[in-house]
Amino acid sequence: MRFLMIQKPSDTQPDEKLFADMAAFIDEMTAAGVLLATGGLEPGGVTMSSVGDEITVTDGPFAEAKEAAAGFALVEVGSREEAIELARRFRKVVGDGESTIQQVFGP
Amino acid sequence: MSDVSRTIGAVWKLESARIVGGLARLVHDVGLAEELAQDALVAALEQWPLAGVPDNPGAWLTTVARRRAVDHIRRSQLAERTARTLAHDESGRDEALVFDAGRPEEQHDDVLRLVFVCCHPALERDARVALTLRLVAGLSNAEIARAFLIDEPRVARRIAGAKQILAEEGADFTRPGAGIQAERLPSVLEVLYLIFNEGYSATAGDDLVRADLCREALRLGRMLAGLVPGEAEVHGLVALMELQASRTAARIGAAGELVLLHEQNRGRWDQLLIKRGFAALLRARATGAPPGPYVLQAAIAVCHAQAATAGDTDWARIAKLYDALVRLQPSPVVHLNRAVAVGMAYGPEFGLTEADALLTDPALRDYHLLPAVRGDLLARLGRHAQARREFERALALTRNRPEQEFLRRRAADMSSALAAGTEPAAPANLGVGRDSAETAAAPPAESSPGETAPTGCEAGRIFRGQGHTGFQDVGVSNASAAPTGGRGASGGPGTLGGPGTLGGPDTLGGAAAAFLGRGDLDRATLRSYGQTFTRLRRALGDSLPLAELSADVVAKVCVLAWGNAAPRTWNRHRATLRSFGAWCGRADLAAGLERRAEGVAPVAPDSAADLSAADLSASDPSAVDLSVGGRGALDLPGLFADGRYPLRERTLWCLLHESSAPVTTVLAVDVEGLDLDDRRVRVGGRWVAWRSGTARLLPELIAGRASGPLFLTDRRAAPGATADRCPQTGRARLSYERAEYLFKRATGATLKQLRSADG
Repeated sequence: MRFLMIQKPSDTQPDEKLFADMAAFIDEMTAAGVLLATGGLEPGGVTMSSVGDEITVTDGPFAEAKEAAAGFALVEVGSREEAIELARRFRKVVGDGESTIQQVFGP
Repeated sequence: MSDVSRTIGAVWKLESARIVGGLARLVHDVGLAEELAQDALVAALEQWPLAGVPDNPGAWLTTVARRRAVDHIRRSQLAERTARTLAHDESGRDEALVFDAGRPEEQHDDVLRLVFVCCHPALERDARVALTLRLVAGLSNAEIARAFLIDEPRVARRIAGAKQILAEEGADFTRPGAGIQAERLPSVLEVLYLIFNEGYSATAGDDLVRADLCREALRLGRMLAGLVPGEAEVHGLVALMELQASRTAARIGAAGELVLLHEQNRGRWDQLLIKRGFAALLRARATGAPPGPYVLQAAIAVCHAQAATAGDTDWARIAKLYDALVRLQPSPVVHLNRAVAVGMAYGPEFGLTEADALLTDPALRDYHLLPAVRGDLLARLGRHAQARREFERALALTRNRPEQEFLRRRAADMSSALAAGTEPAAPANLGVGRDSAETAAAPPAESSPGETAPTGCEAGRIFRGQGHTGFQDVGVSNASAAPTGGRGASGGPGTLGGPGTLGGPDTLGGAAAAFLGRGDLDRATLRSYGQTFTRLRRALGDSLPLAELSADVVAKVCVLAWGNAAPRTWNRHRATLRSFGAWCGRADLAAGLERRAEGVAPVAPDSAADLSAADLSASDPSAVDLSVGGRGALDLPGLFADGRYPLRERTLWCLLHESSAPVTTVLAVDVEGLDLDDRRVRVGGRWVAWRSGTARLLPELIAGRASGPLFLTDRRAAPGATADRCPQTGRARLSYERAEYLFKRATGATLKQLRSADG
């Protein structure tokens, strides 16, 4: 099963230690064979919406930036609980904030 | 199951290898280590629902398990000093212990050691697989039982037995040195690939793919790559598994059927896994090591992955990779796959030459893909009559219904092509060089430890039935129909292609049926005759015109089938064929078959494959007779130093001569028994000693091997003969007959004469 974990932006200013801890955590998850892909996301970005034939492209930043994603991790595990356990460890590394964990169907 | 117990299960999956590995370091017994870890798990099940899940569940389990280990050590008064050290540890604050689960590099070693112990050579392969899943992957007996579709008590017994063997062996818990790593790694890789294939080509059960097993194998493979990043073959295996797993979704059709590689919707391939596969292969290359079997197979998989359509497949490159693979892994199935690739890359006539060379290999005698591949190549060459015969032969050898259907159709296409005198419609539509087969590289059941499974993939590409819905994955049958010989031997003539393929009275099938059906044969005779004809028809095809059945052809089939059988068996089949020859007015039919003296050990001609394979290296045997000058006048020192003979022969001759030991004793020598310093080895209760000549030759012949027969053939061992094959290459022990033959050909003398010769 694959799960996508998405981190919401947080107010915590990342410091050297956080970067080092994150890197160590990513290495560990990669070595454990569960992390398939991960990355941080630029704030804002571009939104696109379509209504009928009309497509609207809007550049960020956006007011509701809190709801956007700041980073993601795609993991492959045997159960939802394993994914949750991984997310728990991740939250311990990054401190206050919020993540969502969703199963990925497909490809 | 409650949420908490599910959480505990999840933590266990993530942590068990580290916990068990760490405990094993303390108690020096994996079985005990696992029991202690299980105790901790039970404690968690009792306490967490009440006290809540601890902040750091993995560390909690580790701590509790370590306490139990300390208790155990104390109780059993075992390793007193260790206990004192640990007790001291424990007397500190709990937190100290919580975070003392071992430094990262220590944990790293613990897990690696655990992996190697699970693949201990004293264990059977099934036990290695079960133990690895249980201890390293953290699966329960029930999960393992479900994955392999066997009952749970059987898994429990298998694992208990394995633990006991390890305890008896005193399995090593010292840090895995480079030696152990080099020795065990092939076995570890084999176990992982077996797990993967069991999931990927699901040899049994309703699910075509058991994703759980694939995922476990991949997870363990990625983990192993992290533990031993310098090992190219580990990355090669990971690459191979990632690339195969990338096609999982595309392999299953809308109706749940398997879809062959060339028919897959390549848009459904998982690009993430493909890229991960590429990356793993690049890591393998970055180690600078020469490519091994897994790296080569992964490179072949890359060729398929890079082709945007089946027609874009770079067959020339695949053929080259098979060239290299064949050198490392000269198994008949790899040869056959190579023949297909060559046929695709350079044209059917070249492929056919390669495939024809396999006809004399006894291992492929009942392997339906050989006639199927030949049939396809012959069809592409427009040789429809022969192609039809090959398809019919293949049909008689497979039990997979969709395959049978497909082969029947192709045979019929050949018939109509013959009738119309034109190219048959279907193959013309199918086109040449367009597609390849599913690469369900299922390992044949008998592939030996330390050897990767031959890819059964390219050979399957002939099953490219257009408009042939519901066609099954030939990879599945590759797994079960691996060339084990004898498979389907009980089948009887009824399985020979069914009605309509027997052919007229002028064909082998028709004549055989008439011969057997003439009514004056008693049941025992009929049964005995039946066996002879089953073999003959299977080897030659029912539609072979009787006129083409020559004494030569008959002799070839007989030697392949019964050349090594007891003289009585040989003579029985010979009698059948003589009787058949007389019946159909072809008295010469059995002319190529010598009667053999019964009650004496057979001096059977070795199989033709062996003859052709082994002696390409002896450059010009005919010139040698002169230099030796006949019996009693052997120039022994000259012979032993004569570079025209392969090293194996020279060492054997020299050892026989210097030791004066019986030939069978010398051939029974194993590498592990050799005492190179004292120049002797104990075999079957007697010492065999040698002198300087052998001592000079031996190291080169051993060439780093640690175990297995000293003198090997160039062929793979028959399934099951674990004592008589090399654990690294799977090659078989050199036989007396073969050794005798080689010496006779070189010198005209017998090995016995060599033993007693002066020199």
